[in-house]
Amino acid sequence: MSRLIVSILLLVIGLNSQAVGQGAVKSYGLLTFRQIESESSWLQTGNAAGLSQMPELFPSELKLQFDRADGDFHSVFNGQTDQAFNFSSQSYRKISKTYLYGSFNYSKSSERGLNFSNTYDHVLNYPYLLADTIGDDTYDREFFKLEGIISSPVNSKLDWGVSFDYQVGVASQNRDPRPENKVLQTNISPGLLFKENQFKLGANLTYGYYNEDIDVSVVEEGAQQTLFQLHGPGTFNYHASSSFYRLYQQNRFGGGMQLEWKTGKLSNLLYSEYIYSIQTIDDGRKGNLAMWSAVKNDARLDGTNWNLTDVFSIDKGRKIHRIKADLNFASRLGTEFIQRLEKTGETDQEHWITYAKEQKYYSLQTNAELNYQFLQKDENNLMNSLFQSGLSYSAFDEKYYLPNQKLSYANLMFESSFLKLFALGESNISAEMKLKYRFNLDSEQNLAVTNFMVQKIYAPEFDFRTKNFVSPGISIGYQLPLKKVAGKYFVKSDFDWYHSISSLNRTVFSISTGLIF
Amino acid sequence: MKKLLVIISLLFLLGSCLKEPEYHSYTVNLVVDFGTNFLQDYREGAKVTLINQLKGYAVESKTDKNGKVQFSSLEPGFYSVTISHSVSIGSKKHYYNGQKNIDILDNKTETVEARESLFGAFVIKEVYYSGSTTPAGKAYYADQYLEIFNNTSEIQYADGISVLEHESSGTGVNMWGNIKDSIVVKMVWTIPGNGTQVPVEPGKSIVIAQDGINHRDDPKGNPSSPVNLGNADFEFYVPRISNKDIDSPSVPNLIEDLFGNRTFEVTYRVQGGSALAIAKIPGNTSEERKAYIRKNLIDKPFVSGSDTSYYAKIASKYLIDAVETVEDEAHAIYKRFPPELDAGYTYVTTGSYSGKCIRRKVMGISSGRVVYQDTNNSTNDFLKDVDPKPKIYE
Repeated sequence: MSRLIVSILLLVIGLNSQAVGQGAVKSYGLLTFRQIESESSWLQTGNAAGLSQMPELFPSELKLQFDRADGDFHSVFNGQTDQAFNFSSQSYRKISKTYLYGSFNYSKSSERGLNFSNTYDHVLNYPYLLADTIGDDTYDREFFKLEGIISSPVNSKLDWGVSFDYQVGVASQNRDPRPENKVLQTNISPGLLFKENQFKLGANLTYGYYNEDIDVSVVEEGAQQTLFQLHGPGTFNYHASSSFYRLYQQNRFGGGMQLEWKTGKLSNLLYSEYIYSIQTIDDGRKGNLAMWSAVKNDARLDGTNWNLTDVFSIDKGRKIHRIKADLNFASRLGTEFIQRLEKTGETDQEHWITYAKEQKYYSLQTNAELNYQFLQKDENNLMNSLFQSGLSYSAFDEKYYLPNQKLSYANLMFESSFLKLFALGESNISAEMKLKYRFNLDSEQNLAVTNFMVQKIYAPEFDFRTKNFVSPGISIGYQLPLKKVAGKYFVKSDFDWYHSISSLNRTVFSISTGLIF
Repeated sequence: MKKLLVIISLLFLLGSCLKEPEYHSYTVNLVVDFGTNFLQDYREGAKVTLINQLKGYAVESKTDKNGKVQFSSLEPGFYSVTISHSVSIGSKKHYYNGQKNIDILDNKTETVEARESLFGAFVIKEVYYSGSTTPAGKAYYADQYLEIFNNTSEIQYADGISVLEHESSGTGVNMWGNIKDSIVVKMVWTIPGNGTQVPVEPGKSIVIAQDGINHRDDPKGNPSSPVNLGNADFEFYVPRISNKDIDSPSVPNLIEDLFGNRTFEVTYRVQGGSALAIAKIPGNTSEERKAYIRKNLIDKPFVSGSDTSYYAKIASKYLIDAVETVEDEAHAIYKRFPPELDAGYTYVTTGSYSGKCIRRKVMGISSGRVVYQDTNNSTNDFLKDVDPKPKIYE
């Protein structure tokens, strides 16, 4: 048992050089992690017990990466530029009959030219965002993330598994008003996998918790800034103060089921997952002061995410054809609290008294995707080319009631990529060509109120989400075997360029280097 | 087994998405009560404004011939209703104002009183209460001032006019709200003179400074202040042993008739919340005015119960003009002045130390003289967040 614990710890930091089992004889390279992701459909299901269904590849990686995105074509909640440094490690291992995966990531990023967001993740907290209107901010973020999966057989027919991830970090803005965001995110998911002849049946449960604590301060002595608590398209409260507290808390509950049928070269994996989430948004303020002695409930957001996926595969040994169909629904229901600060009791203490809870916001995101993948492997069973092509349909329908605000759109996205590994003496070069094209099918804005927030936030954001764009990309990697170390050194660079029909552009560049062994 | 999973998935599909919101929408019927002597023919066309105090937006409508108006599709919340109406009878224009806070948590019918507004020759043209920030980032509020404007075509005399501030700062319920036809004030400071010594030309004003110095140049001032008050007409000066208040030698002092809490200087609330008025209190001398005040003292025990503060009850009939500032829209629920004095409220939205002020809107130009709008509704009559411009009329 102690050996197992030590191995897990080493896995997490990617330093376990003594690979055990069949993986030790393999010579892993630039594409090995991508191969595991592409080849093992079970890893996409969310059932940790499915880790045992991965190919017999057990690589480790240490990586340093630099990312930079720059350009006008971005969400209104993102900055003009965003650059990040990452250090990460990840490793797959098999110890006896137990499969393990561990990863660690440290990232430090700086986002510049940001205008309207005071939250760490605007997607997660939408529509209940906190924003100031002082533009051209810089947001610095520093995050750590740990992730682990373990899967082990109970007997010849039953495997168990559990996965977890844990992320903590801080983010802060460089000018008044200055939010400091402390973020904690964690997920845990136990699962089982039952095997009977050509059938495999899996089930897993999942629980997640997210906590974002925002402490906004105004450094300039005696000055106050106005903070806007957004509630949906064009609706908001605002509060001018020299400080402000906000707390987001989200609990997620759910589970999934998986069924695989396999005969000869053919297999089909059907899986589904359902998540229910409850998010509360609370402000700490008492009158014009920021303090947690009086909690003002701003809103509650209930959410559901449901997906149904089918993956059909033809495995011809060194050639694998795969067709994946995926359907996903995400709905959100927002409730606002109508409260007033009143003196109550014999001591005349001030409390926010709730007079009503009103369901005011609703959104439904629908995604349908059809994807084809063709994977080829060499004589060592290592991937040397990958072709992917897919078409996805996404629709978003968002409503706010009283005043009645409605936004909806539907987009079609075509994506294709081809990846090939070339030998160059003892070295290898990988090259990948990518192409994305988004086409807007339909969009509608029906707004009873068009105010400052609609003009500055919601209209530009809607424009960004519905704009047609084309994005070619290229990725080049180079790997060199190291004689004295059992592994390969690599350098890899990615370049993507987005061009919208309104001539707005954005370039996304990344370069990474490290060791794979 | 596969069939079972498909069935379960379909059940998930049916129940996976949340239902659309079940929200409430209310209808409010308002009846404007203009009083018994008001002619039926003039009830139509009064502007009725509903302001959602949580979100700050407003909806407007006008009364029908019966003085009624209906608002439908209202979201639940706390609203303030303001009535604004003008009626021309002969050559004279009469203004009617009303204000009431209502909680809309159901369909309801409410009556809102609107009464004819009191008018005087003088109006409060500008109030700069927010203060400014020094280059070192320090708070500075000694540059506050109040400007009183002669809105008539004749010379008016300002001596004997008092500056009043309501006892409540608008951060809690006005405990004097049940006192009719009077307001309770914490200070009365009066312009000295015998009634003919401080003439104010038509279309001109007098500036009453907290400290009458050039705040930009004075060593005790703030280079970043937006104003030079070295040429102010009067200033507040609180003589105390500590002598913390600046006494400008070039600017005459107001007469202290009442200063309830007697802090070391007179300041308006920089966050907003001071409800200010100008009045002509009975009495030609400070002694006579103090005699009136003594007869109308009203006590308020300290929260701790250890002592009592005394304030003065001033009859509304002596008030010439009034303007109520609040911190923000949410604090409008603590409104203090009755509608016949100020049916609305106003504030600097950019907050304290922003260097901005509130200024009355110009209604027009008459014989080359600026005439300021005075409907006794500061929500309608005042501009927010403007640069302080004492003695500039625009």
